[in-house]
Amino acid sequence: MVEKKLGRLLSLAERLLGRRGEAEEVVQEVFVRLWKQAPHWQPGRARFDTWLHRVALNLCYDRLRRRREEAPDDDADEAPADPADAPDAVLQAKQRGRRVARALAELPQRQREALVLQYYQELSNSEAADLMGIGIEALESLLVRARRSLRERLGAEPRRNDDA
Amino acid sequence: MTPERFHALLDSCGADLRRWPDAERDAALALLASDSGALRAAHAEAAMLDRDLNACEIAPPGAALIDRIAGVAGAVRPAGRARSWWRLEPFWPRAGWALTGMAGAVAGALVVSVALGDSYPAAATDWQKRGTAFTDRAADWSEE
Repeated sequence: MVEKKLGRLLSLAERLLGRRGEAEEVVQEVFVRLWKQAPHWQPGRARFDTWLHRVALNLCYDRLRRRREEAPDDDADEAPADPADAPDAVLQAKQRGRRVARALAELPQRQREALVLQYYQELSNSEAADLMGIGIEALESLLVRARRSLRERLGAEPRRNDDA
Repeated sequence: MTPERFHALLDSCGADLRRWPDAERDAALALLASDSGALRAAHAEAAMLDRDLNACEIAPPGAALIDRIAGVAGAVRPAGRARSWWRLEPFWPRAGWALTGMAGAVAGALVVSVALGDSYPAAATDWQKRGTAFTDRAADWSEE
């Protein structure tokens, strides 16, 4: 069960927090809470996956809130790419991934959250809206703004030639 | 479905129609199929952004993280009824010693009974053969 859910939760936390170390701590805490709550679990009351997402989201919110309260620092904990590390295609893909991650991290929190839940976590619009405590129209509006903003940020940079 | 609604969904859900609301997918497909070009162009542009988004991959969890989480599972105390056992935790060492002592006593008793098992029953059956002050086999002194 751990392995089955771990990747999905890690993906959620890392995309929201932008930091691998913090994302791993969040995921670990989610599982601690899961095991503590296991005796209380009532099948059918809430979708298990939704519950896990909710716990992970709340833990991410806590960290983002703390981060805002602390002195702003450099968000990225990734090492700069070493051109000697990989062949061109691999390097290009890595750079593209980093560029998107950076653009994603620069989105306003609610837009990023909407996009991560709906696109990367592949939740339906109603599930994502429910998790965020908003209506479907509000979610769609956040998604539109998020995608538009990403398109502008990424479009301003040179297009890669490996899209075909 | 109207072209406006198609654009709205394209802008919010992306180019992959599998991500679109179930109730609107078929109508969107039909509209796209009948389109002369404008919707297709918008669809292609949205697909380009999807490809960008897909480039942002997250490395899978490492073995160390999996081990750490599995290790934490053993240390976590469950909530609810199961917790009542944990409340007795301070008494566990004493209960352990008491159980060990009881087990030792039972084992000791078994060892003694096995060790003496050969002599006692035999002695019990032989007593009639032995002469005592009250069962003197040579009471008439005939053997003497």
